[in-house]
Amino acid sequence: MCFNSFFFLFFFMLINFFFFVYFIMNGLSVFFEWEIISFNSMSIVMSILLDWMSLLFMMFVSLISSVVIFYSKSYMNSELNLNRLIILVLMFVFSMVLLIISPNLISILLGWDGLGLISYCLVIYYQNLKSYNAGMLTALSNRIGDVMILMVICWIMNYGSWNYIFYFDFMKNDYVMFIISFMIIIAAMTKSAQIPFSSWLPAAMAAPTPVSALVHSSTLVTAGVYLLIRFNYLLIDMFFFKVLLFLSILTMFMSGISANYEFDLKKIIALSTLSQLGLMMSILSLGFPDIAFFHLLTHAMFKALLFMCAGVIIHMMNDIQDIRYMGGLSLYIPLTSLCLNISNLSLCGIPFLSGFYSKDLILEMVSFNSFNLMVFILFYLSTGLTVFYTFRLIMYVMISDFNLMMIYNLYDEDYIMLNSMFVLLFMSLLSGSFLSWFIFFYPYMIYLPFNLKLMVIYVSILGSILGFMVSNMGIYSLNKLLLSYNLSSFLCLMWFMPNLSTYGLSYIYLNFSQILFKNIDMGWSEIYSGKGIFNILKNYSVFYNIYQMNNFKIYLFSFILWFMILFIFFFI
Amino acid sequence: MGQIMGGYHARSVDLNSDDNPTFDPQAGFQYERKQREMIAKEEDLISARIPNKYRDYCAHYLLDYQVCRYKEMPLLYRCAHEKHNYLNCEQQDYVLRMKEFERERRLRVRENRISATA
Repeated sequence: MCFNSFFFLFFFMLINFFFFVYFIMNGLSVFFEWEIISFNSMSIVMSILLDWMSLLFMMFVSLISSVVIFYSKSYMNSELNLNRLIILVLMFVFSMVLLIISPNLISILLGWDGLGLISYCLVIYYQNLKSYNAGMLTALSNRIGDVMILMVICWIMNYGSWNYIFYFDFMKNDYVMFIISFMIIIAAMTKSAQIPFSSWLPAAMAAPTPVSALVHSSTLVTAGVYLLIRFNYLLIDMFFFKVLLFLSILTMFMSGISANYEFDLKKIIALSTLSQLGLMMSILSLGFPDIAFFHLLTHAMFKALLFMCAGVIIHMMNDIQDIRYMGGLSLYIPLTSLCLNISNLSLCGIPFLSGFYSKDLILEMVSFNSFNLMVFILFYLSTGLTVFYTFRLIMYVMISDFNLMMIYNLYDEDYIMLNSMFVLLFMSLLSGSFLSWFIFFYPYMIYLPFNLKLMVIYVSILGSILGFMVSNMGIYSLNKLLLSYNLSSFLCLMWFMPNLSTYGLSYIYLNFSQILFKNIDMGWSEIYSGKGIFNILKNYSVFYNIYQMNNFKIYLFSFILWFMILFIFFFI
Repeated sequence: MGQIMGGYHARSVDLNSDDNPTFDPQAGFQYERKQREMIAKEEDLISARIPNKYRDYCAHYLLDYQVCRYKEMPLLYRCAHEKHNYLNCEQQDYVLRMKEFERERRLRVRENRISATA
């Protein structure tokens, strides 16, 4: 089943590639509409929109999923029900394709809900308590977005059809569109894990690593960004887009800091995904959907590769994910380290890897346009933080001394996993250049002062130095950090967001109900009803009992007294 | 950001980066300035489906680039020359606009100075 699915998806990718080239060459967009049923003035239609953007995204999704399935053959080799995983992944790809090609909100909902449901099934794939909790957090966070899409479907009924693309130009200033766009933004924020819905993404790392490579780095989480790219024409002048800009920049900054405090290999990568999602969302809300799409695609490639390398390392380390137990791995697994390094450096935006083309373009566009100083500073700080945690990771995992095991028995043994990684390695090297030629019909002119142009290099050098220093930090300095324990725990726990979105949400209500239970149920109502009446009756009966008992005593006593009096009177 | 910093010292004369020139275009010049000429033809731009916001004074280079893209697809790196020409023209255009902005600023400062002394 693995190889069949791999060949099917790979073939699908090739078809998409040829159609993409043909469509982009001729500027084509094909719109299919199939009327399923029509009653009164409403018709239910299944519509499909094929343009260069949907074809390119489908090509990337099918390439990554085919490679991930190939990789799973070896990674999940001891799994009894491997076919179950493959079927879930195929269903996931189907949902994603449905979402990508839909200009219709009903089929978007089908794809969207499909993604949520299958990602839940994949997160709880390893059946243990941690996975169940992570899965529930993931499913419920995504459920908010599903509900928003459902409400959008209800609202867009006002126009008589669910094909949203027909209403962009004509209904742009309508009040209903205002509500619709607000809900779409909330839905996209839940799927792309923006603040305040960020906590599910690191938790979802409970899923198997190939699933994380496909679902939680490159496809599912970018569904929200893709939806907003499609709705961009509608949203561009909205006030909510400015709020989204603010939240996405904070997401980028927050996850960059949290990644520096994290020691779990997969969680570091998950937080870096969150940071890049923030970057995509922010450039999207600044009004450059094509650059956001560009970064989405290049990021999908190198992040999937990064996860796959992490999977190989976790396998070799006997399922240890803590980077403090690793070290010096580049000597033992040079090929995997090569892939890990290239994907990491691509993430940092090192020229001329794929991440450079998109990330550098984003930062230069931010510098070139008239945006707020705060936006500018947070963008560059977050870029520096990306290099910071990446170099820290490289130092911990690959360069410093090994830490745990007496004898490492590690070598690049598994050529199924390595081959699948090399496909993505090739794409991580070349996709940036390839895409920058293809998708920008109208190239961007950027003209900056010298130091502003080199600002990315400056923050990168600073970040790499800090990353090097932090990874060599001694126990004395680590203990010093305990002095600022409150600040550290705030920063490393993603600004307390996991707490806020789990028991933080229910704490006030549960606490209030506990107080009510204590004071009303167990307190006043008990005093004034059941227990209180019982006490009163009991006290009265005790009192009467005493009286009754005393009466008897008094009666006997008076009897004796009278008897004594009579005795005294009569006999003395 | 660069735009904000560059335009910051123009705030004192109430000049923002999106404002149009308000002075006579010939003022202060020894020679007569000529209006720029649009080289690309309207019908070519329509036929190439170039969006309105790209129909500027560099549109003829953009047309060349689009033609090259069509011819060389998918080996688009062969259009590097055309792309460079277009971006170079856009850069020259940008420099021209910035010079016009600076001229407007200086003329406003001059106007304020003259009105203050009068």
